[in-house]
Amino acid sequence: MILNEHQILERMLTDDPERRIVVTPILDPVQQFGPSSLDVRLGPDFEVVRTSRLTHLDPLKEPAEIAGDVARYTESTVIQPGEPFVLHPGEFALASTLEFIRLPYDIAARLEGRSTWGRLGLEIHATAGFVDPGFSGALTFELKNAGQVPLPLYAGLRIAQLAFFELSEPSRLPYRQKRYTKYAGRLGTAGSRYFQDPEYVALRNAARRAKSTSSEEA
Amino acid sequence: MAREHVYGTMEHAWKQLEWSAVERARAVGFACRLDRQLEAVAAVADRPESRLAQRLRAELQEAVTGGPGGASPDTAALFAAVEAIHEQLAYLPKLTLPAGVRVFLRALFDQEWNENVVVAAVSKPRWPVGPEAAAGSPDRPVTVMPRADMRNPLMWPLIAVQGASVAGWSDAEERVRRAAGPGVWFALAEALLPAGAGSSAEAEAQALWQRGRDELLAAGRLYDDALELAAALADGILISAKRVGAKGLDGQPAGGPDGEASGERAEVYRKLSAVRDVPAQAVEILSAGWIHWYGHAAPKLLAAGDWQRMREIVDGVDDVLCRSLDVAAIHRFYATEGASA
Repeated sequence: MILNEHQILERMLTDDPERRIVVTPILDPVQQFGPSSLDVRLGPDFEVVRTSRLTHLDPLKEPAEIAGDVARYTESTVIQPGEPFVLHPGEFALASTLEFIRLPYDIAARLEGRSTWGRLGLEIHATAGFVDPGFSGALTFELKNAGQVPLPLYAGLRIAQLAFFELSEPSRLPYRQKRYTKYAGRLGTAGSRYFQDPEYVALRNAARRAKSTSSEEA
Repeated sequence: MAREHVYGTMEHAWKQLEWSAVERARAVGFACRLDRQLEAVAAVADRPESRLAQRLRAELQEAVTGGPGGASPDTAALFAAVEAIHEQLAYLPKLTLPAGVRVFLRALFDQEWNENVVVAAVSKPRWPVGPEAAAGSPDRPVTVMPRADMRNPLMWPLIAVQGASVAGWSDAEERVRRAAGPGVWFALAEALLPAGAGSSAEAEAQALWQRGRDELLAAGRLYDDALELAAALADGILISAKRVGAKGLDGQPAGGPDGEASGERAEVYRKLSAVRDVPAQAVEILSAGWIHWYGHAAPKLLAAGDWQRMREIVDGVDDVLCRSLDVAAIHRFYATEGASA
């Protein structure tokens, strides 16, 4: 069931912490509430990949080495109030919601763009618009300018909206209690930690074995 | 006495910490912050610097935990070891200062803050306090902080103390105290550490710390608001704003954007006003941060035996305070410039 504005509000105001949706700050509820969604705003921090010295990201390197690569090739920018971050046509950047969001165990959410910005060509996520029950932190935007003109983006703009869904019963494996979570509790923009996925442990082991076999044969 | 808040219950308003625990928490906290700095440097530096940073991290961890089978050193020895490692930052690349530092200074002083004052993070592990802080001159408008404290907003008021001196303000500490609240005395006390047991520096640090505590407890509305924010902090929630709309449910109808004074839509808008937030002031965020540090985070930090857990506790406090100050500044911008429907 998708929540309407009244049900979202009721969940935000409830005294029961196990049912409460936390979204803070709400700068202007009249602007932000829709019939079945809540607008969220752009935060001040951005991450852009500098490609000039980067051939590719090798997921089979050691995780610490990849983390170093990612840090070296990522440019972090924090903008001040009233200062623009200009996203050029075709450019991709990571950003995050201004709001801190915490979902109870029986509510999932979906992050969607706003048509106002869609008409200008701004995409706010590539594939990851789903928010698990129990999520806590800032949501990451995967911004892309699919339009023809550069877009000056300011922190605090309402560029996206959240729709909330009630589960028929609470999750028993909510996001912040899962064993493998890479982004739980992040308060700002978080880059990909794809290399921490356990699948890569197996892939690295296989690659090492193949390398040692071929050097023995040589 | 339990106190109900929007996001939780604060069981104890102010938890008194033993002086030895204040000192120890500063030492361990500073070590964690130095480790965070070294970790970030290791990630972006070239290979030789990266290796040096990794080695220093290992030394630091051993200094705090005592290494395998070892015992953690006493607080004075720990401070000495951490400070020696901090000095090594001189050989490593510098990280960019968080943008939030300038946002914070503007939030505290608005137009009074001299935007030409340089804020520099240095490898010297001690904050300049007392006469040292007033040593700057308008010809050399420079303020400094230890690099480990770059992302520790609780200590940022000490930049303001130096900046106020550079700007030639009389009674700099008092003026910063008026803007930054009683927390400035805690910051000044911690900046004097380590102070030898029984020394005059220790007596001075204790007196500053007690002054901070007394003024905070007597701060009336500021204390109440800071307590509410501290309860949210303990729950891991951003404290950039205070909810003011809850009273609206019982108050007068707020009306909608089209001037509807009655009817179903007006009722919906009236109810929505219950979740309206106002930006928290920097002084409230800092005061909440100190209440949380001494009442919640520091005791947890001292009880933690695992280095990773210590880092999580300290990073958790610094990250949420930095983010809260940044978000509050944006919120304040729109509230001031008038972006209401």
